[in-house]
Amino acid sequence: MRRLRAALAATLLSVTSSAQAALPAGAWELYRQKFVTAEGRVVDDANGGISHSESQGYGLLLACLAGDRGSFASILSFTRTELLIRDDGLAAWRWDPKTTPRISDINNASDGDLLIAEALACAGTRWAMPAYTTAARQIARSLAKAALVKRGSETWLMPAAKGFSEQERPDGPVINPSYWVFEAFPILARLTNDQSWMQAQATGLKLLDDLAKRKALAADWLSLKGEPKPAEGFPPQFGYNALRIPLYLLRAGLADKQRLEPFRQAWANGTAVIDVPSGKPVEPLPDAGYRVLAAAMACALDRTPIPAELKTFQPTLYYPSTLHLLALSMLSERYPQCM
Amino acid sequence: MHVKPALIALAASGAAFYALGRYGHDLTWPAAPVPTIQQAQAETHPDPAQPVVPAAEPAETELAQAPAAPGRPATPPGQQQRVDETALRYFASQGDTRRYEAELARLRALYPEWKPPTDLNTPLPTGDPELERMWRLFAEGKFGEARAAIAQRSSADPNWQAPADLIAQIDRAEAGQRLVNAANAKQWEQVIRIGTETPALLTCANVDALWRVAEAFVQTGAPERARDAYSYVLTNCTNPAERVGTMQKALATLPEAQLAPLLAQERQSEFSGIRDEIARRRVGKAADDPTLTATPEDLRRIEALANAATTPDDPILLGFYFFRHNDAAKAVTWFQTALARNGGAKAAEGAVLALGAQQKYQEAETLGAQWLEAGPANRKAYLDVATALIAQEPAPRLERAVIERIARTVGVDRYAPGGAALGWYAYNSGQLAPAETWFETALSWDRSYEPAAYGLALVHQRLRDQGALRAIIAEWRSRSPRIADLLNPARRRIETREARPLPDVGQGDRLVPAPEPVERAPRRTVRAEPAPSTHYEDDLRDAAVARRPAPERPRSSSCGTGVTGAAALQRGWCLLNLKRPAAAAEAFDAAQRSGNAQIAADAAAGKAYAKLQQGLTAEAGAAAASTNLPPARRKELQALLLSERFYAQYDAKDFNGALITLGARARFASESTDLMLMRGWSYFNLGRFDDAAQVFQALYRANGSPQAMSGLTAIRDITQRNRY
Repeated sequence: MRRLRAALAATLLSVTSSAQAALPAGAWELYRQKFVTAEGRVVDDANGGISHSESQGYGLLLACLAGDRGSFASILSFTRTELLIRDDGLAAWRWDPKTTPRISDINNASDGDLLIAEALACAGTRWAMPAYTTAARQIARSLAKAALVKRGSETWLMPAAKGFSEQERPDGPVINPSYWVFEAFPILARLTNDQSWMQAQATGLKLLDDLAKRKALAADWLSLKGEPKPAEGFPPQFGYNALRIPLYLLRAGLADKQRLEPFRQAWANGTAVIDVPSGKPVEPLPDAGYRVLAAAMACALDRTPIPAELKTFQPTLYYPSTLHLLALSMLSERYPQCM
Repeated sequence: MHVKPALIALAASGAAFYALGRYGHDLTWPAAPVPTIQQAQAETHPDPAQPVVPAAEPAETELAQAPAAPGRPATPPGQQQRVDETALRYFASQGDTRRYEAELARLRALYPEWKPPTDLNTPLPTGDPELERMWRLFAEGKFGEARAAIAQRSSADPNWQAPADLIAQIDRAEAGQRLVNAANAKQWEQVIRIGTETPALLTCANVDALWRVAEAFVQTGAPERARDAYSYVLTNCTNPAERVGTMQKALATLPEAQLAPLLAQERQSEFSGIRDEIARRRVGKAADDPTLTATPEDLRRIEALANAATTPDDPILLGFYFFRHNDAAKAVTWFQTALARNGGAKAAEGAVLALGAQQKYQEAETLGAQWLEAGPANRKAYLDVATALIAQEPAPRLERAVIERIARTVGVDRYAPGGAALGWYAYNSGQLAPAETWFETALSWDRSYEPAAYGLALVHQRLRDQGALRAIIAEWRSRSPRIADLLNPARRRIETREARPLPDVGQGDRLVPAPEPVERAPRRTVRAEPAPSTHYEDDLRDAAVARRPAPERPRSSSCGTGVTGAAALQRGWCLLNLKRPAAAAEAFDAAQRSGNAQIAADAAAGKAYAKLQQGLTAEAGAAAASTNLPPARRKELQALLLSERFYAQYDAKDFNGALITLGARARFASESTDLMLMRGWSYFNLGRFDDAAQVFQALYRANGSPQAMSGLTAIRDITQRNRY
């Protein structure tokens, strides 16, 4: 009976994303007050107060998870009016209050589009709004056209419509493994009835598993020209991008032990930006929003309880605070025993 | 749970799709109030497999965040219409005149039969403070907050439904912003899509949106659809500024053939300024292209404008028109008018060229000299007239300062025709030595410049230097019949220069300054350059002596006459210092033959320098490669050679190649100020004005260089001003 209920719950979850997942009481409200403006802009306060498709996507997703329909509406209003203006229907990735026009780079960022589509799907189901679902489907279709690239048996998620391919870079294709928001792939596949999303998921997992087999840590940006290696022009680091990978794996329920092992190893002595070639820490990451990621891995792999101070949420900066909320909602949904 | 709202939303989106489909295809510009962009879009993309809208669904209405009805009448025209006046009443009650007017215009466009209500000051009978707040948020442009308030209430009260008019107003306002954002980001397909999905946006209440959609049509290759949009405004909208603005947009974006029907929609000569602009454009085109002729009406129109105004632009335009249509006298008059009106470099350039066309070379040279620093075009004009001035026959009597100025400018710009003209000037004045120097110099700037070779051949002939003459004939025989015929009296053509009696070789009373040896003389730069030597008499004498072909003759005493390798080497360097590269090269040759490896290596380097001084880059390269040079010297030579190659490429207008060469040179030596300037001009000539500006600015900041300033001025002229 318990098994059946669990299976049923899993089916529901896969349909509705983690729409039913709870955020700690008041946590979303603190986040919203600190990072979301009245007009619906999610502010990256550590980056000169800009916004981007990623911040808007996270804002939408968290609003849906928190059941805050009003905030979802205002964030979507801003996202659609200001960012979803590209010819292909995807979001321009960067919005800067200090430039005119505000869009300072019209290129998209695939993770931002993925998050927006996932959040729209979440909201469409949660509030029975077919218009949201339709919008999610349109973004998913456009993104598949612009950013999914089939190479042999593999399907890559390119980081953006422009700038990273074989033709555009000597070390291309270059990808960002942390742009593969794994929890979104089955949702997009179901929305569009397009199995390439599942192929992209499989390719991403295979990439991570191959790295894990080689005991190699994923860098933020990888050149796939030959054997995956850190891309030219980016620091060869497991940094602010890649540190999301274990979180996305955990949220998608794809975190098996071997796959997570390199990440856990990398942070054995504390959360930090890691220099991939040497494995040495470059910059400590003391924020609770990063430490909770390590704690979540420990919970998932060893059932280690989450320390009390990480279970409560205090907003710090936009990025770690976002990760903190995503981690807490995942933990309460999937690992209540650690909480 | 939320079955009911979901069903309503589904039904509403279906209705919206239907409405868009119907109206999108039924209506046409401009008879109907709302344009048929959807249809136009299909025409823009002839390939039916590649529609502009990637997904079939109308995203705009689908994304409406509450069950939304489109802001258009659901009843067919002719039947009784129920007009939703909620927004109108709200704006009136708020005293929001701007939005009130916009809404009034929109409703009038949608319902031509409709009469605005007279009881507008009656407050809205809502009794619903929450709803009033939503309207207020909307009126304040806080669309996100209005959306939030609506969603919150829908969430709290599943039976509550936002008024359709409020939703439609927010949809439209957001679409308007989105359209502006998409247009600013040049996402033209998206602009057209938003216009298509929000036809209510495209009314006289929002002419800016119509303009942006029109521009999107132009940018996506459908100018006829843009013309329809402009025509829609001219047919339906009354705001005078917007009407003229519409014509200006049309003028800026449409081919001329499409303008006439729009101009025909003029009311009370509102487009006279536009007609001026069109005439200006036509005259301008004909000024650029002499095969075109402007109509007398157009010319009269511009002349009247030029006479009525105090600005220089129209006079400059007319000046160039007449200059290019063989009426130099009129051109001069207009350019002088323009100059008197502070017309600047362009007016001066025109005046110089037009005076030149009138053969008033002296006047042109004097004027042009004042504008040498204004930019490349002014220098080019100056060099043209200055060359024409000195090439006249008989040689005009010119003040020494004028000749020096011409020589200096020609030298700085390494302008071969100017160098040859100075040669002819000397030759025609009976001064063979400076003539020879100038012809040789001109040839070193441009190895293929036949007039200089011909001049040089004549000089050799007069000096009875048969060896040198034969060498030139051998080199040019196949390319120049007149040079080939020089030793063939039977076939000698009648040659005016030859026919003229020449004064005795020797002491002419008007000396032409010899050019500074050409090596590394930066071009396009003026004043602050080390001016070419004005102590030229000594150099000339030296040069004349050095030309004597017999190597065993005693040379100019100061460099010695020793025959050992070491002495020859020393003599080579000494001659090089005296800037007598040909003699120096001979000395280095002798030194190289001496057999001592050290001396030979040193001499090879010397020879390379000598060849460089002569402008013989290829030979310099060969000399440099012929032996093992010490690394430091090799580096220096490489840098020099690459400088020379750079200048050659620059002169051949291979600016990309020139920049690559500068990049290669940077591996051997840092970039001198001169070369940086030339780098700036290379960018300039490639149209890379930002890069050029960066270089010039850096130079200007570093040492306040006036040449860098000229560069910046030239960039400003070309990027910010009209051509005339």
